[in-house]
Amino acid sequence: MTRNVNGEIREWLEAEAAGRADEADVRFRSVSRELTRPLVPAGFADAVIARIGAARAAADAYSKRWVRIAVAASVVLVGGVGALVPWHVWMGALLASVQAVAVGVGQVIVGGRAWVSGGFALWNGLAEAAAVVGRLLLGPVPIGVLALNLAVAVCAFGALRRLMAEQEN
Amino acid sequence: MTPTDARLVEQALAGSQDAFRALVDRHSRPVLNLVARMVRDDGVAEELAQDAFVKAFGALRTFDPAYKFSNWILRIAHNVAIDHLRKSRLPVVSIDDDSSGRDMADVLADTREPSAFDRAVQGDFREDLEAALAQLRPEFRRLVVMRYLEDLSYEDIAEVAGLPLGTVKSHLHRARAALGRLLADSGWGPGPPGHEA
Repeated sequence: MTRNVNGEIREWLEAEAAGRADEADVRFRSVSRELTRPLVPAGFADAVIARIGAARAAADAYSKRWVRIAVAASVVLVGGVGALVPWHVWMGALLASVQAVAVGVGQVIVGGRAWVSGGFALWNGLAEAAAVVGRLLLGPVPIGVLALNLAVAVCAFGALRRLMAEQEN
Repeated sequence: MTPTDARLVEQALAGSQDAFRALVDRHSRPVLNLVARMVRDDGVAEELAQDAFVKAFGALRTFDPAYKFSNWILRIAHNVAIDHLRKSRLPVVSIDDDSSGRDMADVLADTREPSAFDRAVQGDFREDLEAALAQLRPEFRRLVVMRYLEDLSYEDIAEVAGLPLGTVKSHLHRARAALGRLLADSGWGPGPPGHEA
């Protein structure tokens, strides 16, 4: 039996273009019969069950008695070795750690202060330069030049507008 | 009598491996179909589909029998596939990317395209439709797969994809429109009438 695929597509697209969503849905369903459905590989379910078994085994590992005994023995061993170390050695190590942290924090503070003061110095320099330029611009000659520039710009803008209006007309 | 999904879930929770195996057998095809269409790699799809079932088993106690198991497992598979796509960042073509600039009216009015008859006889339409579907963005392709390959209702798709019903409908409309343009670009549809495949 033959199918008029082009006809089916045309009907679908016409329904789509006309906004007949329900009809387009039905028409496209007919067209999409051509799409293949994948086959499930043999042994898929077995593979899933095997993976679940492996995951379970891993989760159950700690629940085994000998694993618990081994973990407890390790904790006792580490604790015992730690107890053999004299207390002043522990305290020395602790103080050294605190000292290292304090030195690090101090260096960060010193670096931060230098950065802030550097920023202020730069800002002061820029402010002085701006003040010098401002004083220069306040003289009669620069003011005159600026006023002249402004007048020329206004005239040019007006001329441009007139020119564009003429072109539009 | 075939046990329901809810009954199989109960049995699986009670420790029956056979019950869970029956659930896997029952739902593996739609799960694999959805994931394979989303990631476009059969090997990866099989692994991700297995992941989905393993996750489902781990979360079986959270399954609410008031809902469909099929939707629940598809939702898990869908999320597994989305995670994979996010990690791998596969290149996709935007559903709105119509480089030809043609809309539906242009496609319908265009009669210059050569006849697709010869290629249709050779079964090329399937290939072109598969290729067009593969070019859609995964988030739109998944909706087409659920609607037209797995025959899910709009409501079920909304539940699986976690989207509002209106969004599902509008995305499907846009996906179909994009497929129409892609098929027309391949020479299908607007040719002279009467061509049979």
